[in-house]
Amino acid sequence: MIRGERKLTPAQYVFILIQTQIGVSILALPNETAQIVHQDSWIAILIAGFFIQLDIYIIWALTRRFPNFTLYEIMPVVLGKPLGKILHIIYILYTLSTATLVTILFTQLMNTWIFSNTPNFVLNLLIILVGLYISLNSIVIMSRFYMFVSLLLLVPLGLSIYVLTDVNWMYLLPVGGGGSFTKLFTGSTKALFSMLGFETLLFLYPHIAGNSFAKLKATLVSNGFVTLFYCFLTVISLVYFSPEEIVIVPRPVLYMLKEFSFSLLERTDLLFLTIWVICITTSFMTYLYLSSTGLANLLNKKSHSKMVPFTAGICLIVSSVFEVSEGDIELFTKFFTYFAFTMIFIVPLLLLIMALLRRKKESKHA
Amino acid sequence: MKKPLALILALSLFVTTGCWDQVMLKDENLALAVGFDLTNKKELNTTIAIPYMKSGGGGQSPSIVTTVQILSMKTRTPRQARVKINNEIAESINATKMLSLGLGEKLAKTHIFPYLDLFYRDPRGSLNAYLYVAKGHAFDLLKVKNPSNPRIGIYLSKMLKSTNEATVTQKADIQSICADMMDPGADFELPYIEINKKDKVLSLKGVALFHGDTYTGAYLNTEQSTMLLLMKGLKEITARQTIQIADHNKMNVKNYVNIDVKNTHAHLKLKMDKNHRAKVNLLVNLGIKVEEYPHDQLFSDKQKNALNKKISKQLTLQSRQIIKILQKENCDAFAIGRRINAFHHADWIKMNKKHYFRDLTFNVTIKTKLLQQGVTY
Repeated sequence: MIRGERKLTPAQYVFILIQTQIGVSILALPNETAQIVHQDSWIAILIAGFFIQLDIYIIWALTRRFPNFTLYEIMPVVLGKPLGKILHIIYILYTLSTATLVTILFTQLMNTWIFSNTPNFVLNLLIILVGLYISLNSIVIMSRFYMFVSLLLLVPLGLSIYVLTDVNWMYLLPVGGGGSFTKLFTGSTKALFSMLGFETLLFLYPHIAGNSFAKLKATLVSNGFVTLFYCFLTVISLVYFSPEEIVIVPRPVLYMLKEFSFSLLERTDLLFLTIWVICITTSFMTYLYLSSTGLANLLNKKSHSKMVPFTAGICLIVSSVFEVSEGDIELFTKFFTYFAFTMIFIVPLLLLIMALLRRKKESKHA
Repeated sequence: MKKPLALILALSLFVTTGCWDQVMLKDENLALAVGFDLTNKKELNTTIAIPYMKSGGGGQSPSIVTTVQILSMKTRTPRQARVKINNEIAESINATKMLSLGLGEKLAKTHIFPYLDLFYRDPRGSLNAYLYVAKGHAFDLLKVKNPSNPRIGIYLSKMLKSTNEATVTQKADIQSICADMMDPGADFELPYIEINKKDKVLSLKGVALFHGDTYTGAYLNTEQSTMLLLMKGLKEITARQTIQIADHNKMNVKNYVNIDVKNTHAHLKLKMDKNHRAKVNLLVNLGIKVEEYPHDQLFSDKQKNALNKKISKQLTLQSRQIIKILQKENCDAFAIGRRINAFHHADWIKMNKKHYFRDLTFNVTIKTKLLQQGVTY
């Protein structure tokens, strides 16, 4: 990393994580978990949150050994140059495919929900242009933007609290009647995909000011917040829809707002969506930034800004060229979940074990 | 910011206006009231009421005249009606602002969920449209021309709103019934509307009782439906009842009392006995206000207590009658099944989902408390 650069405060980092983790997939999450564990979906989400806290601990244990290195710099040290380079490229692919997937999901959402006649290319362009504009800047400037738009999270929260006027708490009962423990576990893997974003610690650790415990705390706090936020939205969806109904509604969080109309305002789901688009875009920006820094690092460029148009271009091409059906997206998402699981859980764990065995640590004079 | 980038961003605004999906009101005809019927040949007959606004002329202050065109046609599915009607009218039809959806009696007696699918599936579907069952055909209902309310769509939705505020019907829209319709442990009621041919008006007959997504053919009259809502612990703005308290007065008017329920508290207790049979005890506490008491003697506490007792007794009898009807039709309006599932899950799995409500024992008691009696004794 470049010395003398302004660093993120832990509080700013919390907002980066929150905005990266909260994204497009929460809208569908209650349905996906309910298909497996029915009324116990909220437990599955808590379990997922708990496992992610463990994973964060593993990532933190790895990165704290190299306080001034990003993951891209850690890998060659731990694994040697050739293997490190290969993994480096795979991680660029991972962040880039996450950004692309967010674009595709965003466009699919917009297409089915509001703009059914607008060409997908235009919708892709919308999110990518905004992402491009913000990602050109440093992570500190991005974090300020994230902090600012986090205020908007209050609106969806308020709208979903209004839903509580028309719910039936009995849909949550009997607790534990949704399925066995293995089912709960399968359900929680679905939630994992919606909570991606905490792995940014791998890349951003050296950019955060403060000691390593402050960084761990910031990560745990934001993941805790996201887990509770998701749990809250899931509980609301569960008590609004009957158990038979929620499994046939692909985006319960949006759908439940469709019925509500106020004297001045109709179609509250559209209001919700207008604001939620920002949360989706911020997730996209983070991954665009991460893939650009990875690429800059690979090519030994000092600034990532010049890489952003390139990565954004790849996103635009990949998301626009293929005519994707909902089945394709499902398949892609499924494949991606395994991919992500490997990249954020298994690889960091292996790296940590290797680093411990080979006693690799950042040398004091680096 | 660099100039070229600023230019690109400014230019990109042109593609963000979303002109692909714009909907111009001048090109659309809003269908405010829709009705579905089954013909004798079991074909679907869709009826749509489209209001037209015309400037009626008149020089300096032109009046706006509204006429309603009723279009009706036989189609295979409700969605096909849109295509067919589009071929008949100048503009294109738009049902996203639909205010009410009527279901003909015959159609309601089959399964209604398949006919509602399009509203659930369409992202712009009007989920908060009032649903009701029409006695006879919804088609005839929509043709009624009420002089004070020429626009049938507005007339129907206002009427259903006011009956909801008077605690006669529960607000039943396409989305709100969905949970109960799909849940085997709960059923729902829909407003039941008929035509008063003499006065050429619509009239609410009561609520039609459903089991699953099928109209059972039985209904509760308006007094019973108010009582049913009170038994569920629901009260909107007013809940008025006329109750017979005697039959010996020569002047018939003196045999009755008119009350308005101020508050209602329903205490429902569910027990399972040793044979895994459900037993329900429902105690409803009503706080009432006497609005009309032609007999006109409410001075002492003794008189008040006597009246209170009579009202309680009458209402208890009436509510037992309601439970009897509900059980006969297997309409679980209290969502007892959902309760059994929640608290006695193992028993629920073994229960017959079709007629569990008929099999259970349901005791109901109404207790009233006289809170107000107006400004005279």
